[in-house]
Amino acid sequence: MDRFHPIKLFILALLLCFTTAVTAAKYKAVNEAPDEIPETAQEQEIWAIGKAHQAQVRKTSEVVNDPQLEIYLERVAARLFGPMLDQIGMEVDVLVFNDPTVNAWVYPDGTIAVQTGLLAAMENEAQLAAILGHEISHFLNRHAYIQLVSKKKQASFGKLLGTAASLALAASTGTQADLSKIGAVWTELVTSGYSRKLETKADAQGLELLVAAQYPPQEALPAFEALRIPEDDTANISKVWSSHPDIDSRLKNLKKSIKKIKSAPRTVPDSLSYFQSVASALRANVKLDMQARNYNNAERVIAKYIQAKPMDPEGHFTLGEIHRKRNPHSAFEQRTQAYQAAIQQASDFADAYKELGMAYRQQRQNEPAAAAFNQYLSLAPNAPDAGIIKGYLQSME
Amino acid sequence: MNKRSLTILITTCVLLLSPFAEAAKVDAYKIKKKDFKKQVETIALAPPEALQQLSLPPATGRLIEQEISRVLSRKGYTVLPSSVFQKIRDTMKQQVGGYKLPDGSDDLEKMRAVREHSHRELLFQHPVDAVLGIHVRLVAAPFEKDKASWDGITQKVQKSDNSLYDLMGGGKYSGNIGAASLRLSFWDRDENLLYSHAGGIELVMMRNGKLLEPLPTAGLLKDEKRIKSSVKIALKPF
Repeated sequence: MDRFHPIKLFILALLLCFTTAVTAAKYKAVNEAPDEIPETAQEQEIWAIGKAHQAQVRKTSEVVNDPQLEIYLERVAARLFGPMLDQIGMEVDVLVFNDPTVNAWVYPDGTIAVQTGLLAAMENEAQLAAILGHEISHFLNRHAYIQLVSKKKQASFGKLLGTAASLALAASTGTQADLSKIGAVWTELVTSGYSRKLETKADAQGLELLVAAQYPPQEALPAFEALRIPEDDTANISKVWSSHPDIDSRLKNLKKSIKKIKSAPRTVPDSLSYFQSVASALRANVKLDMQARNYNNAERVIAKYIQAKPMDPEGHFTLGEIHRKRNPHSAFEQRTQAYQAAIQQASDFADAYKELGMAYRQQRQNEPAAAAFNQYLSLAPNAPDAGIIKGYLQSME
Repeated sequence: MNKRSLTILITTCVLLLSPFAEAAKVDAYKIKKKDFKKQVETIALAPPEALQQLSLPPATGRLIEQEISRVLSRKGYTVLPSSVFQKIRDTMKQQVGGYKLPDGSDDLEKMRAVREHSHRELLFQHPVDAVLGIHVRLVAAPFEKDKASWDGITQKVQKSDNSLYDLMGGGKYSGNIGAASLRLSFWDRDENLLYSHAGGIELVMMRNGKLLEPLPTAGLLKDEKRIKSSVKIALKPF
């Protein structure tokens, strides 16, 4: 107990206060908590509609249902909010959407929405924090609300408010409101981006939040770089980021701001713990990428997943399937290696044996192909394609 | 299936397809035309199929394939007839013990297994560069004043009876009506879509006063001239 002598604790506390004061002085512009939110009745109404919409989407497959992932993301967001959370008196809420585009946004009530594509594109927690800091800055400055009540959006806003009455009526009568009607309007409103001026401001203030939360600011650069849309990938342009100032000028501004920061945190959080924390989102995103035949990205993300969960046979099998689907008539070595790795983790993984057999058969390696097919049939004798596999075996005899 | 069920089914399909009825013109080629010619020499035909409640008379399937083979051969491609693919598929169907479950319904898992394996087996056995999917499908054709236009053709909407309103000269309707089209899709060995284009065949619905109802199936997809024309249109950009 001697180590925690009251005097030592007092000195430590003084030091901490001093450090905080220095940080605060250096980053004086760190967002201050708004005096009171929601401020107006209209803003309260918007929050209520937003909450109702969030509750609705939470029940759908649009959202990744992983409480552990949400807790992790909320912890990162809470670290960025810092003491402001208590001042505002709010709880952090994060929604993860099943969508492979690199995107995030914030609802007017501060609920942060991130897409699996964004989580999959980040390499560590600091990069994620850089994006969340940007979104939190939008919230603290009420950019969503400002945007919602702006002239430009009045038509959509009118539609949205029009639903408020029916929501209130439904709540008072205990009946189910038809939230699907507001879903489209709401999503359009909160995801259609801000003016470039507001974006630039959010970039700067997001960086300050990042530093105040003791994340290395230089990680904001690869994070924003990941938002760059490949020239040939026009389908991937999200509404939000297409309205942002171009990535080059954002990076230029960020670099300038980072240079000005003295004694910024330098320790970059390790990638592995980040991948482990967001593993379910990585897995979900691989599935989406494969559906979209975006095999290169799927391979990049499944590699992260395998790093996070090397004992999960599904990860290795999926890697084999990515190779197979991208190159059905080649890449045999990568395929067989991946299927074998899956079998190493789960010796009863029937589909891995089948695909291993198929890969060997394609290379006319009948002996290992037959061994793998026999193993498949012993594990899955009633599989729908069992008869076909028996046919392959007969043809190889 | 009785007429009422058929009407409901086709109408539902038409309603679902309506948003695509006036889809913008798209390029048939999904890769550059010169790249297609460079990478494709041998094309395997998949057996012609009718989708969405349409049924394809065997003679029509043969005619479609004949016309396609003629055009492709003339352009210098080697064509593997659909009988090759069909044989693989039939063998596999037999190997899985048919598609019927004990209760008489279709075993969708077995159907999926045969579809996947037969495609892989075709490419394993034959050095084809592309597979041509041949599908006759139901589409929603926009019509105005009883004239429907879709996938490169125009056809007058048949009326089953002249209602009083029609007789008074007011019976000119607009909307979407069920029609059949032939869609031809070329896929490479890695299952990337290389080309896809459709040619209209004929309307499968008629107007009865204000209502739309299906034409008798017995008379559908048998008009040789229309079938040949649909192949010509579907391969026009080719």
